[in-house]
Amino acid sequence: MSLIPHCKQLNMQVESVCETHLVLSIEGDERFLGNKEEGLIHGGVLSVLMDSACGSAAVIASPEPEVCPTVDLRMDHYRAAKVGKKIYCRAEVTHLARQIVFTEGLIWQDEAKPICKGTGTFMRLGAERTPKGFAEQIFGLTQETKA
Amino acid sequence: MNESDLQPGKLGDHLSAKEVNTWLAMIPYARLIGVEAEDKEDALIFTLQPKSENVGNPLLPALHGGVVAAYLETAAILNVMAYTQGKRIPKIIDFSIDYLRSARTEKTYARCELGRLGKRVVNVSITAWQGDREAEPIALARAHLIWPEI
Repeated sequence: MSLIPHCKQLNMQVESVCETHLVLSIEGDERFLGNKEEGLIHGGVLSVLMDSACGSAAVIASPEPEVCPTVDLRMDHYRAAKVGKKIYCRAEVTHLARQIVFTEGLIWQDEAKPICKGTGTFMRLGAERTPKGFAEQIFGLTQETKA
Repeated sequence: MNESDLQPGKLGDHLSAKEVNTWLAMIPYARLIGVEAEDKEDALIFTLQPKSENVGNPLLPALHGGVVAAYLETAAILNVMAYTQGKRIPKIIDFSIDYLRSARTEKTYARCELGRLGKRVVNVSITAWQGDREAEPIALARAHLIWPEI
């Protein structure tokens, strides 16, 4: 996450990673407010978290790490996220096709009260179109997660 | 307001970019990523300043897809507020974005269209482009928002 400038700015953290899914988090920072008066987090911050989580799940699901740009992202906002409380996003791959990865994610602050459901579709660029050093970056990320 | 009031041009007047930009103080994240309104002829457009912190893929480099989504969601929110005298920040129901081209770290522009307006729900279509290539959008987005009571 520290290699992706905007994720670094948001101080996005990897909570857990396994073969089938991963969980990312951000703090409920005042910087992320979309409605200062009511103390509500901007829906767009949740899009950043969802895109990052679903995109990471897509990369991890591929046999060899490859660049997976987002084709589309859809967000259903069940309720607003509130400032001052950590925000989690769990993402998983629902289908890995030859050229496309289908993913889903869920955002919450209180596990019993989902905030947002997301669906992301990603393109697999393949090893030949993945820049050199990408695997090392991902490997670095994995090391950091384990540490 | 009924269905016949839903045609473009029947929305009434919108406020100017100068007034719209005063609301950014209530939306810290919009300021963090660098969203602003500008007047272009009679229309309102929304811009995203190029910032290295908005990058998602440093190898290209390209803007983070989530930042583009956040920017276009903000554009939809501000556009609705411009037609409702900025009384309240509208709540988002859902948001969907299609990425057509990778977005470079340069100034980005967006235009909104308030397509269909129910009594309580507004549908906003948003088009984003870079440079003078409005005909070659980098992303198309659609949002449903709760229409704020004036």
